[in-house]
Amino acid sequence: MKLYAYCVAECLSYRDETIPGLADRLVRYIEVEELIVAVSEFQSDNVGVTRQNILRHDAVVRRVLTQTTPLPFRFGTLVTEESLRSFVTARRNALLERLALVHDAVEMSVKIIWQQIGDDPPPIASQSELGVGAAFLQSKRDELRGNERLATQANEIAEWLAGGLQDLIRKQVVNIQPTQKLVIAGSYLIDRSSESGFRGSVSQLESQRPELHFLTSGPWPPYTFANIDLEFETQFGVS
Amino acid sequence: MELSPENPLSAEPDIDTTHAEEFVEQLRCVTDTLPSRINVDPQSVEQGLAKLVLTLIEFIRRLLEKQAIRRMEGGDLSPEQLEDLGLALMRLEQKLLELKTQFGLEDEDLNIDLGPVGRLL
Amino acid sequence: MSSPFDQIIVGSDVEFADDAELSLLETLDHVLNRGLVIAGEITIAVADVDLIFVGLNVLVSSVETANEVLRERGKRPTLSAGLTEAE
Repeated sequence: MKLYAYCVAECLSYRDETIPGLADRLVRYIEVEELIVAVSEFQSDNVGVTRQNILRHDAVVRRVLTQTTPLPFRFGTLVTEESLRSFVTARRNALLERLALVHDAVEMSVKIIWQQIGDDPPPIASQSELGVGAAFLQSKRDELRGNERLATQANEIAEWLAGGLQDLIRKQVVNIQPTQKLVIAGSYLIDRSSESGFRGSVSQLESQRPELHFLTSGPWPPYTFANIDLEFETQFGVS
Repeated sequence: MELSPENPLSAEPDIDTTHAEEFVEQLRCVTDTLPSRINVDPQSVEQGLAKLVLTLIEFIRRLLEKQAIRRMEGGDLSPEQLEDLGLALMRLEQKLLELKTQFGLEDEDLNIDLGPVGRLL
Repeated sequence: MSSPFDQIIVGSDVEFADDAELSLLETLDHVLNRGLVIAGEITIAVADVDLIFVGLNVLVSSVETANEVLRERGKRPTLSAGLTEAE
C-alpha cells in the first residue's frame, strides 16, 4: 500500500484525523523522531493532475499551516512507509534547518504583466529573398537583439520590486521572463504577521507604475522554499 | 495570536488583482503542457539524467545559434552557407523539442542552477 | 478535443468565472513542480562553486549519511569490472 505524502512539520500539537485527502482517504500522521509527516493511503501508482487532487493537496497542507509552517512535498509524491522513514531519518538535519527557515512564515506571490511594444532592429535582407533556413536565422537574430533590450528592462523592474519589499522578506525566488507578457513571477517568504504590511507595500509600488499590472496572492504554504538540496565536496578541492 | 484549527490562518489564498482576465490568459499557458498523471517516483534515475543531458545539449544549441547570428551579422557567410546553417539549426531545435516532450520536461526544468554563477540558460 | 486544462476542470459543474479560474490557475502554479522532492537533487561543488546538478535517487533502505551513499556509489564501477573479469 502506497502513501501519498503531503508535508512534514516539526511540531504538531493537534493532529486532526478528520481531514479528507486525495481519493477521500483520511489524513494520518507518521512520526519520525521529532518530525511529523502528514500522509494518506493511495491505491494507484500515478496521481492524476485533476482539479480535485490539486485542491485537496493544497487544502491538507493549509490545514497543517494553521498550526505550524510545514514543508510541503511535491504534488504526486507516493512512498512506502519504510522509504518515507528512511528519507526523513537520512535528511533530518537538512529538514530541520529548512523548517527553521520557514518557521512562522508564509509564502506570498507577486506576478507582473507588462505591455511591451518593441521596435525591431532593421532586417539584414528583405524577407522575400530568404530561404527557410536563412529566415529562421533572421528571426532568431531579431529575437536575440530584441531580447537583450527586454532583459535589461525586465531586470530593472525586478530590482525595483525587490527594493520596495526588502524589509519584509526573509527569502525570495523571482522568475524573470523578459520575452513573456507575464514578465515577473516572484515568491516571497515573509513572517505570518507581515501579510497585510506586504500587501500594502505592493499596492504602493503598484500605484507608482500604472503601466504594470499586478497580481498578488497568498498566504501560501512555503511550496517554493520547501525543497532541500544534497551537497557534498569532491576530491578536486575544498575551499 | 494563538493559532488552532478553530482559528485558521486562512482557508484559501486571497488573490488581489485588477486585471483578472489578463492573468487568466497568461497563466493558462501553464496548463497547456501539463501531464495528465504524475508519478514522482523516488526510484527513478532516468528523469535526472535526461535533464542533465538535455540541458547540456540545449546550452550548446544556444551557443551555436548565437554564433551563427554573429556570423550572419558579420556578413561573411554566403547565401548558401546561411541557408544550410539555418536549416541545420532549425532541425536541431525541433529535435530537442521532441526530446523534451518525450521526457516530459519543461524549459524551466533544464535551467540548471549553478549557484553563484547564476542559471545556466 | 480535450486539452490538459479540460481534464482539470472535468467533474466540475461550475461555469468558470474568471475569479474561480484564476484561483485554480494560481493554485496550480504554486502546487505543481514545487515542494520537497524525495528523489534528491545533488549539487556537486568545487571550491564553493556549484558546477554540476544531477537528479539522483537518494532513497536508501537503511540509515546512511550522504557521504556513505556516495562512497558506496563510487565503489560500484570497480566492483562491476571485477565481476566481468571473473566471468
